Amino acid sequence: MILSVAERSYLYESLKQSPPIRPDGRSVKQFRPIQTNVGFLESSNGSAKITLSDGSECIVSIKSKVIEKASIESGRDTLVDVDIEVAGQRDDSSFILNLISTLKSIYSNYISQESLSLTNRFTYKLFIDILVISNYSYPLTLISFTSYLALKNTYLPKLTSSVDDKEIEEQPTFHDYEFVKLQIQVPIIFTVAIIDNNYIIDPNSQEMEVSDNGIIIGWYDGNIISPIENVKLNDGNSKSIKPELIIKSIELVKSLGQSVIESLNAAE
Amino acid sequence: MSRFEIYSPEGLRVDGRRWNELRRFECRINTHPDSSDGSSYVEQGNSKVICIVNGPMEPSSKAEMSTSKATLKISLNVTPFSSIDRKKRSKNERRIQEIVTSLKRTFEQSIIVNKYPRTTISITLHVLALDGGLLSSITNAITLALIDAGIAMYDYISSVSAGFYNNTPLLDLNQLEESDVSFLTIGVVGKSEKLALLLLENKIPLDQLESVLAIAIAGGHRIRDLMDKEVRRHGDLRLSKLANK
Amino acid sequence: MSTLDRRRILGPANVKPLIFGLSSSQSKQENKIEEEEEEDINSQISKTFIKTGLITNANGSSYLEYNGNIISVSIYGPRPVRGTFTEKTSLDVHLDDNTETISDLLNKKFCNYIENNFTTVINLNKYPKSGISIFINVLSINNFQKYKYKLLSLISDATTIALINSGIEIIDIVSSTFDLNSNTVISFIKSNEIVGLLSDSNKIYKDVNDFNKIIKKLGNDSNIVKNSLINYLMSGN
Repeated sequence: MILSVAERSYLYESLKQSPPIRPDGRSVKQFRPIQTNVGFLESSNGSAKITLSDGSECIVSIKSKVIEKASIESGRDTLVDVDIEVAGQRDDSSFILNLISTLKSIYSNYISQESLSLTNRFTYKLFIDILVISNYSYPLTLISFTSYLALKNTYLPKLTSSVDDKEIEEQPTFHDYEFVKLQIQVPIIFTVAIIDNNYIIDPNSQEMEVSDNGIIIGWYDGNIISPIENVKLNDGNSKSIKPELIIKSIELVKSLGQSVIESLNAAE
Repeated sequence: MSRFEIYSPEGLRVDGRRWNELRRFECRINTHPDSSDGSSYVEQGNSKVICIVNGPMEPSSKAEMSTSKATLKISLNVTPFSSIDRKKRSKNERRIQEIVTSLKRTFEQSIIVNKYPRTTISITLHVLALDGGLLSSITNAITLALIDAGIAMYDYISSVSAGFYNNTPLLDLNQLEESDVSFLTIGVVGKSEKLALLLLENKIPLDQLESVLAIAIAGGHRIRDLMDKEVRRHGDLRLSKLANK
Repeated sequence: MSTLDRRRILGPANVKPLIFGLSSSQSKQENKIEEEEEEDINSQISKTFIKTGLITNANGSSYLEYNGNIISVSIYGPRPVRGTFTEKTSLDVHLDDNTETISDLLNKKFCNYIENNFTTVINLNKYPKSGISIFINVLSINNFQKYKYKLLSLISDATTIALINSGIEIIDIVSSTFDLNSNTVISFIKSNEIVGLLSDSNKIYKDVNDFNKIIKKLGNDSNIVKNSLINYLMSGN
């Protein structure tokens, strides 16, 4: 978004106030309204769509595949695979690769092996495919919320053969139409923008443009987790952050996480 | 020989349709009003397609600009989760590139391009689910999104596929049928019998071509009516909103 | 093909080479020594070797060696860019890994971190319609799996020195430090303001204060690093 000098200084000054005055009238810890849809792709195990008020839209599909556990132990395969497509961005741009590496590490750390385990030899592998149809702000929060909804509404085929195949080799067989809901805890990621001495959650494109710096913070089950990173929210007017602002943003995220999860769960 | 009975002696196909029946066709326009100039969503059977149109707008580089007409930019994204088995497809895949080229040719003829000199019209397609009829569903989606964007066109381009199996023409094939039956895809111009698009990648006997084309054109007209209904429904909605103000 | 009986040279088919492995207690001991050393910033500094201006073709360059990690950074610019007028300098970072241990994803992540750090610090408005390129060469890496972000902090320090060597205007010296336990790297300027922050571990912070402690500790370390960088620069090498 291109702002004029006057617009920029007006926005910056109003966001600098205490409490900050945001262009859309939100409070420091208020998100933009989201619209959700789940389970609309019949050929995927789980799917979700979130649309933001500014027209940003993200679709996530979860697909599964049965693989041998040995292939994970030997490092040939991974339990979770993440792929991101952002309309108008090249697949190999550093922006996309950074998003993929952040999400891959957070999901492979916090999606437990037990929840996907089938038998002694086989396990499910999840493919998380993310499609961002349009985005105007930093998409990581949008992506992580949509993936949360998709993963929470994933149904995997029910295993009918025995779990113990250590002694007798047996291919897993599945029920014809019954599914089991995937029971996992899913981490989410928040974006906080720093403006002077203020910190605001879920910045929109205008706020991003004038912000001094941005931080992404992971949240899982009531606690703060990695990634804790600073991110570039605009081109070229970033400034340094005071350490106490980082701590305050982390505290804000910690206190907000549970209510965000509750409202996402209510959307199912 | 397929495991499935493509066309039973009783005249039923794998999904229970007769030879001349279309699949469920649902469409919506103006689905992404905040992020695009024109948008549409098309469900043709189990295939689901989103189309986003932006433009006519200033081209990003002078090289793309034509002084006499609008240039079309089409990007087709077949998502890795669209097929039953997950498969990542590159945008530079030959098959995708071929489809993009034929779409470009079709719509350069159907949009009144000389009304918009020095501009580009960018069309982005996302295929969310694919069950046969890739080309036909995206052609219909583009037509609707262009109408939503208010871009001048000569007429609707409605597209449908038709195949020929065991001396019977079959209308609007799904994925299973597509893999076993030789078929063609057409784009019909409005209510006429003119074609803006014809793609046949395997063989159909010349003497049978007419019967296949006839059923395909009839199917195309039906789809045009369904699309027209949606456009008018949306138009009425817009009008009533204006009237209320 | 020689007619020599190769079996005599090779020995029996089922031989295995003799490997003298570290006993587990010994390797544990070594790990412990390494980890303790990670805590002691002063001893690290005394083991670090820095040299600037080795690459004469570049506008600025630096060479840094620490504990088996060897990094060379060269800066090209500010040089004019083609095309339309731009108000600010554009900065681009390239990382070349000669040891081929850094994956593409991490390579991009490292470049991104360095770019974020230095767009904040370089006075970009001073050089309109120009570009600055930072080329990082990683020549040798020690224990990458465990110390990958340590390497990143070394790269960041080497880049600061190279930028100073090139005479490009920067707000302050960026000094980066690394915490092994939480796998965190933070880059500081102006004694305790943060320009870069990257933390990637499977640690769960039950108490926000834990993270505060990490920032404090790294802040103190960074002051020591900064002082020694200044000492090096003042000594006029």
